[in-house]
Amino acid sequence: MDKLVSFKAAACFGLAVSLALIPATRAAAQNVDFGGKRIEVVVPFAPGGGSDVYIRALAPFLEKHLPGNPTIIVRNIPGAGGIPGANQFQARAKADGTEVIVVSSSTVSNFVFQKSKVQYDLNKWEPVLLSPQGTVVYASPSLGVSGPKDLPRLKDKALVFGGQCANCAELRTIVTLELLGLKANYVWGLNRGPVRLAFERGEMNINYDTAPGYLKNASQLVKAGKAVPLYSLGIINDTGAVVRDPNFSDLPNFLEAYELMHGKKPSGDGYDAWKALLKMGVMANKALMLPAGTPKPVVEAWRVAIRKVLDDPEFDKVAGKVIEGYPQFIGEAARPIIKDATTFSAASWDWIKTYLKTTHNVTIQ
Amino acid sequence: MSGELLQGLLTLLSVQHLLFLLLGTLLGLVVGILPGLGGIAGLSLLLPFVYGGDPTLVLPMMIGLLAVTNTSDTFPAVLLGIPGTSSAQATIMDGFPLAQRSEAARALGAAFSASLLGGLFGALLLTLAIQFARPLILAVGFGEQLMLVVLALTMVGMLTGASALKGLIMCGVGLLLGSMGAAPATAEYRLAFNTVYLSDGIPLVIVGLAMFAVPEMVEILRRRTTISSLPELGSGTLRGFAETLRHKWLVVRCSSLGVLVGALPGLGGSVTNWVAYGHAVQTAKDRSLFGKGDIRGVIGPESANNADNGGALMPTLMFGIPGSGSMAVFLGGLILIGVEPGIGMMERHLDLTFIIIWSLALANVIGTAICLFLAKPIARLTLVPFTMLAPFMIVIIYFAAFQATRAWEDLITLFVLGIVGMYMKRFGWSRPALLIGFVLSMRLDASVYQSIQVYGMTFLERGGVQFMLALIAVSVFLAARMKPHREPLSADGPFAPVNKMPQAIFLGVITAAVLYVIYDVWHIAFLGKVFPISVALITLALLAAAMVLMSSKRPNYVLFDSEREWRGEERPVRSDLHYQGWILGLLAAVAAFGFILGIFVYITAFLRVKAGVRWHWAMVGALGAIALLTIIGHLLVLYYPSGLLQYVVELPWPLD
Repeated sequence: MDKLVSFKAAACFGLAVSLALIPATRAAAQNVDFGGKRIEVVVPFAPGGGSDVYIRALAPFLEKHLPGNPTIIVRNIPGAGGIPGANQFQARAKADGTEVIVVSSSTVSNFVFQKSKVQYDLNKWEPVLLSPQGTVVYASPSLGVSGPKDLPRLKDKALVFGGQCANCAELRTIVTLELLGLKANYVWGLNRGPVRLAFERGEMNINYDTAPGYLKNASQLVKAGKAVPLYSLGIINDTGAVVRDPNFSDLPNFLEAYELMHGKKPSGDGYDAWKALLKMGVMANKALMLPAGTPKPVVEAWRVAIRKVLDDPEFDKVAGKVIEGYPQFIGEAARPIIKDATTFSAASWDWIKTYLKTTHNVTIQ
Repeated sequence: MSGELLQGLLTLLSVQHLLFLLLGTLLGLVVGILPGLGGIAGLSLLLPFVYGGDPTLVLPMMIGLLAVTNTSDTFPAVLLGIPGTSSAQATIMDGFPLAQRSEAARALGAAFSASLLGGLFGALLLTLAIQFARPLILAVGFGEQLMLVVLALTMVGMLTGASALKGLIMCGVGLLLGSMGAAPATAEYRLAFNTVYLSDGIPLVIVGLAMFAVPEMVEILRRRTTISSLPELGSGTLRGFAETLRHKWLVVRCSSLGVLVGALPGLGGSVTNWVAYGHAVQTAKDRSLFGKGDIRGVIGPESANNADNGGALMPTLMFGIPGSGSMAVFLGGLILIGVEPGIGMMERHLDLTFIIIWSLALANVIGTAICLFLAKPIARLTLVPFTMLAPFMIVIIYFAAFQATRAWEDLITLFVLGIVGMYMKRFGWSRPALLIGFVLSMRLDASVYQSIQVYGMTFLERGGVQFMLALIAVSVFLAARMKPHREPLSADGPFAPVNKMPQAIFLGVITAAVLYVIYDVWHIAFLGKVFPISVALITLALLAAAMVLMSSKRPNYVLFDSEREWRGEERPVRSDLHYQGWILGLLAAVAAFGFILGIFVYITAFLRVKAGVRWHWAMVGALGAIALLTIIGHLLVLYYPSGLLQYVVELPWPLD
């Protein structure tokens, strides 16, 4: 429980500090000028993916609101789960505000699970914006479910779940299946697109998507009667509690799903581990960060600009979809979330280690 | 519906729309010609302009770009033996030999007309598919995907070269090379040597360049001539055009294959062109000219790789699932302009769908017209003394390799694999076989595991799987019956058992590499290692057979050393390693001075020493190259490797 308090306290403190600093830093930020400069955004993933679309939607508004109206250029460095791109950014990025990186939940998850290959220090980078993205779990009606209330019926069903790998982005979802006491046949080596196709073909019968993917694609399957939404993973509110996802307020969150299944609230090491995974995969889904050592006024100029972007009615109209109405964390308010998403207590780390070994025969350090 | 179909065409025929289409098409032609860049790089360049734009203007631009990269990528493939994109690899097989026989213009004419027909065919099928393709795509499950991969793999049977045994070994080596990186089932790293670079495996671009571009270049350099054997270009583009029309059924069959492979999940352009090439060989009566300049070997893959776009658009539009890397960027572009593909795309955006289809068709016509117009003048490149072309080609090849992951390792990997490719050519090991194995490896591993994980062995009971098994049986039968056209054995020819040591060493190196694979993956989980170990064991058995034949005292087709093809006077002065040394010189120059300064030094030195060009002209040539690369680098936001010099002093753009 003490983790929860520390998160809450830190978040409140961070928010308070950043709010208090705004008037002071506005003045400092005015001295920063990017006029005539090219700002380079490193996206450690392929063009067209979630992180790429995120920054490309923000870019024209950042150009408008950053001091001096610089040109923003996106540089994609795809491959190996975003590790080479983030490593290169750590090694080469100039700390003068002209180079930023898009961090996704894979960047956070690799920082935790692929330590030997990672050469970046996520906690030292200066967060500009943190954008959560919700996750929805849905099932095939062929399992005899018509809504969240039928969750208990899944107990003895032969579930088939597909994804990239057990300790990839899927981890936050498959741990919920484990905690709900559901047994599934796991099929790995598949990206989200092919999994959704396999779900539509009937070869998979339980699946998840992040909010943009769900709203664009899976919701059409739901409309066509080919998928039934079961629960969202929920989000963490500013008091540190897991609450319903604002985009799916009619769906139970995972805590409620757990109660539906077991008749009591979840607790224990497994649940604590999952909460860290929730921060990693949902709360820290997308972020924009400056390299470590960026001078304070430059960092503040970025934070002021991003706040103006979010307040821009044009942005809301044209590009609001990329943030899908989730609470946005600017500057220091983001830091404790990232810290929590990358720090596991010894007990919850052991739980994850054992779970991955026994259920998936995957060894982590 | 036909009303909307016509409306789409009318919308597109306004000046403004045509301009956007033309802009996209021109950019597509440029990125297609440049090796290492393709639809992905071109579309990423367009994305900032796409954002918030009018879909009826932006879509023609994006489609125009995608439609023609596979048209213009034929230029470097036919003229220089360098694949412009990975979809043009098979075109080299017969296109480059045609250029060497002074028939570059004819090959280009055939290739472009085949591209045009293939592209139009793809657009036509896409129009029909709007009604029917959805259930068809949904019928292809994991089992069918596996069978599709196996069917593509059987095309190796058509491409083994003189010795089927050696072809199969190389296919095995390709499968092992392709299994580098995270295992699909367990995400454990295989053969990654604990590096980040290899944890994604070796990039396909680099393997393609190493297998084709480098060995061909070294060989022509040694002959110290021009690419074309005659000082004049032979028959022209029109003859090529007429030949495409004569082989119209080949065009239809290969275009259908292209649409099919493009539409079904899992494969894509880099496989399509090989499947089409294999099919062209399979269905030909007289095969004696394949690999030496048969026009059908150009027509087949070229019609398929343009038709592929029509196919790849089907899952992209109907399911919102990209059929290829460039389709993924296109999909991102659609999201940015507020178009949401997927179920109901046809109901919500029927008008835009038809604009996409018409853009695809029109861009193919425009792109082909421009390429045909340029074919003859550009083909004259094959008449230029090769020592003057070579330094530019070496630079372009390494530029292309660096675009793969933008790391120094790209350059080193290309150099090492380039030497392997060179010896494979010298000792008669099939390079296409290695490439096909490489391209299909991860898909084969993944789909075997996924089919069994989902179905157990019952996937074999599915109708679709059985139908495809029958096709596989036919393909294997055709391969087994095929008698490759080969030179007669003679006591002093290349197949003779004389001075066997060099090829025995090469065989030994392959064997050691295969044994190392087993050692490397031994400690990982069963599902992660079962594929590489099975392939390695089969390859070892084949290698043992090859060793027995190689130790024979009589000439046979396993023995081969092209060094004995040279006779008396023709014998080149310099060895192949001499030119590999020159290639290494580029890496040294770049390591010392960074890319831009390094290639200036390198091209100048090469032109002066090897081509005997005067110093000032050599420098002008080098300046031209760096000017071009700087402009491209700036426009496409590319990044070039830096050298020691840049570590010591800070240099201004573009020398940084």
